[in-house]
Amino acid sequence: MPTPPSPADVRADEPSRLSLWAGLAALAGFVWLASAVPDLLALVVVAAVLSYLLLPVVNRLERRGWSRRMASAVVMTVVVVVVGGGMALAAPLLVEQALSLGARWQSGELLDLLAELERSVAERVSFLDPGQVGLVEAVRQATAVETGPLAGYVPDVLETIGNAVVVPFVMYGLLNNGPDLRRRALALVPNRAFEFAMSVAYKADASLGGYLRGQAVVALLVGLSTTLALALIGVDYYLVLGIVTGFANFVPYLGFVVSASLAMTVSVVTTGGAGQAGWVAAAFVVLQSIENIVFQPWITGRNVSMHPALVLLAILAGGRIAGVLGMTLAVPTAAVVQVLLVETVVNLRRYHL
Amino acid sequence: MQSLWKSLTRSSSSEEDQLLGSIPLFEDLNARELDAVQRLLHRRDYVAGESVFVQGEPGLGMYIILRGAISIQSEPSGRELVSLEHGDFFGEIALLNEVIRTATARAKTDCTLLSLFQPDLLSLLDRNPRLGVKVLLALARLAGLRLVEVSDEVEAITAECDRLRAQLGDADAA
Repeated sequence: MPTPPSPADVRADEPSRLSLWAGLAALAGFVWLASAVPDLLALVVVAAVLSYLLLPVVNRLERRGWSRRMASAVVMTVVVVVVGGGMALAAPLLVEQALSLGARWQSGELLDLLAELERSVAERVSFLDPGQVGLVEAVRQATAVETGPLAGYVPDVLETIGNAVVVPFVMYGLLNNGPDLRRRALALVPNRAFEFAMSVAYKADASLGGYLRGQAVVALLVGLSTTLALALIGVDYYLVLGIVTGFANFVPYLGFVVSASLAMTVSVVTTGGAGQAGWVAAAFVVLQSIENIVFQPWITGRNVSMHPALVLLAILAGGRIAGVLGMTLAVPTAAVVQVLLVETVVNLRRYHL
Repeated sequence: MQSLWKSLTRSSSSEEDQLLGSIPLFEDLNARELDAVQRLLHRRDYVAGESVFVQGEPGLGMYIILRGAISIQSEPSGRELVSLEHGDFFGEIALLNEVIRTATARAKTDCTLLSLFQPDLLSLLDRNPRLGVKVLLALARLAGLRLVEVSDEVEAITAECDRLRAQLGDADAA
């Protein structure tokens, strides 16, 4: 039978406790910095997620005999070239669609179509007056943006350029030195809890990595198939809507509802009728079914096994805490918390801590 | 950029490299491979009397003694099964499978240990299969040797039991 920790175990914790306190102080400093500059935390989180997605590629190159440094540098270079090239290629179409949307908005054409839709709805619903729906006014208020002099945007542009540098820098560091950084973090754990912490850390890592990489592939497939479907139906701004749908797919359930609603709204507003919107709705239903029946089980698998109610709760809490980024990261964060709780409950007894 | 990240993460010791090369598990590895293994190791300091792991706990990896001495003890008696010193290693079977520790390891003096864990070995197998297989093969050889030793001990004990049983039979007959 196992014995409880000896007095030496308690004494031995003293140096470890010092390093633990130092680690906690560093963590508190980081949390303070993150709360003072939330944009910085968001950038680090985005970079961490992206590097997580690219980790298997670096590992694969390393398996072929490349040094980790070389593999990380090459992967980052390819990413920068592909993203930059993709943006350069897609930019003309994106700019055209954005300018067209802006021009139609400025001319009042879209609001007129919306007012027409509002009148049409009111005519068909007997208990509503045309002005009672308030759709046009709601959209006008929601899209009201204060504009300032051009010089006022200079700091924003500089910040964007800075962000474009910070993200690849952090990504490269995490790809190249991620295992070392994890080892350093584990060094802060007291001796008695070390193997327990290792076990939990690796299980959480496997769960999180599998989920994020699976979701990224699913989001890419959903984004591509949605773009294709909307283009075939003839929806305006299909590229923008497809990209938005791909990103929105990171938020389970709500992402689908929001992107489908957006595409249908754009369809109704731009065509002035519901005919095309019906096809859009049908396309989204088919794509969502394919995602649930084929993509998710095939790619994401059983990486994250969570009750749907818990998933929705996590998304709402994430949205309240950190907006869209919080909603996107809610499920993987909840999955890690779940692993931590389950492993802690199981292992605390096994490790006699 | 490279130097900044390197300064944040760099940790190396020629003492550790030399020690690793002398361990049967890693003796077939070249300098580059040893460096790759060294980057997986966790360095931990223990004070005299402190438990490294306790009998009955799940085991996740092996430990190499860099400095000091370790006592492997049977619980609950606390009887010392073996005493290990600089360059010795223990708990290596946990690298192959998450098994329950069959004894307690306790520091006899202040110690510094290097530890290698199963998830790290599996990640090495994934990233560098040739090196991973080399380590696993050495581990399998070692496990085989231990099995032969245990088998010999069991045979010796069985022979001793038979001899005692025979003596007892002779005494009863007399």
